[in-house]
Amino acid sequence: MKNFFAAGASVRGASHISSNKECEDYIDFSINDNCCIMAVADGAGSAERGGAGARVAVRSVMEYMRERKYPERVNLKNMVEYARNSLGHFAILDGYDFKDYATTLIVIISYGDRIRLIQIGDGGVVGRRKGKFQMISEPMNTEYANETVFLTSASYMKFLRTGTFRNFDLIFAFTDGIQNAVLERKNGSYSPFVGFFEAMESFAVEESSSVDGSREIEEMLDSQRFRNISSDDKTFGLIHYRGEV
Amino acid sequence: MFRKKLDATEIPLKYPSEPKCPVVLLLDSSGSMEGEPSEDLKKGLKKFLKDMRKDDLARKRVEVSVISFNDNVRQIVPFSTVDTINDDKIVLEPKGKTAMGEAILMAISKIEERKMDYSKNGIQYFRPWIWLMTDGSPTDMHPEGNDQMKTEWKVVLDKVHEGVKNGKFLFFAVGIDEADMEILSAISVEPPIRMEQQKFSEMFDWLSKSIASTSRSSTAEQIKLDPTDSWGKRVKK
Repeated sequence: MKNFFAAGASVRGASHISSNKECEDYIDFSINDNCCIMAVADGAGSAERGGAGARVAVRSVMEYMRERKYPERVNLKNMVEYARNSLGHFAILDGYDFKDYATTLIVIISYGDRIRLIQIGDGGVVGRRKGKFQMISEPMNTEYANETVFLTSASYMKFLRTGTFRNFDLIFAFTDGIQNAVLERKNGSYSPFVGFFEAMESFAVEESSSVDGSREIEEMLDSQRFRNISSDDKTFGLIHYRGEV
Repeated sequence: MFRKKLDATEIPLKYPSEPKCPVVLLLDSSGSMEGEPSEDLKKGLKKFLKDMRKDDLARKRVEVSVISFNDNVRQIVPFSTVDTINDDKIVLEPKGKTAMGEAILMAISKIEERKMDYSKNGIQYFRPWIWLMTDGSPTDMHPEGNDQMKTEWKVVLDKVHEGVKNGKFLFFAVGIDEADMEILSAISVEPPIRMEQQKFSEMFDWLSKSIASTSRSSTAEQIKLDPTDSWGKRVKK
């Protein structure tokens, strides 16, 4: 049996607190005998049902894995289709347009030595390999700070990023609410802001309770310091592989 | 196991500078604007800047540049956050003809320069706005003018259409009173908006709200603009 630790949280940003709107970020994770899966989504603020879109996308991905009993081999494109179909069902049931559920989506499945990844939209994934922090998946931003692509975009296939990566024992995923505080951008490409990830490292490898760990992350994201970064909703999650037991 | 609790005050963060939202106001200051129209425009502009200063995020994010055009084209205000703009420096002095083509080309090149500055300094930015206001018709370009004017017309039209289509900037055209709406329709991809002179204040009110809401948008948003009924009618193309 493989041993994983995972924790994560989403918090409302100042703009949603002052307008009394729900948090439009969403995160969920599940730890199993052979793998750990985490999904993170950021519903578009401009979309009528962005928050619902984020929730449905994350839950449908978790459901996809659960129903298939956490398989060793996952068809990532099928998984994305499944999430899109779920959004479509909700749109019909609730009487909205599909595009009203616009959301980004990041999925990480860690099998220990190997991780599978899905990303569409902004936010990002950073990992630790042989003690060094590296970018696993960059934000998909267009030229402009406030524009990205969504799971509901008609041309999503053009942007969808899927991949398999090896030897990352520690993985972090986050939404755009903290993206600019934890990444550096040089010559148009992103790299991890190492100071931040080093500060998270001992927490990530030493904490043993997902509940307590998630609460600490929530408090961190909700602190004045993090609120000063941006008025957006914020999500941060991590998976640490701790070997076979 | 004893581990220190996560302390948000001790975690190193790369403090991002606010993303910038560049806005170019392209203002007609030809002879026909003399007197009341020019005074109303100035009043509206002052109110616009005042409203932007009251908006916490817009104050940090919006950068306004003012370009005026008559016989000459001048950038009266280089890209500046609204707090740093001295209202008294915005002097329009209406006189002469309407070098609209040259003004549009200047707006586009100033935006390109600004984007390069942002990129060099690692500053993120929103899609720039070009907001053209005129009460007349261009005198330096025309589809039916002399060869030089025809050439200029084609250059300007291509630049605007290509820029809007490729997402380089947003372009809006407002025709005041007797402005040549057909010409504006041809230049602008978006339907131009016809406005009566006395509606300057309402127009700037709308503009400050729309820009502020763009500058408030986070990643993953595309803004829909409010209807312009309070101050002008979109002219169908």
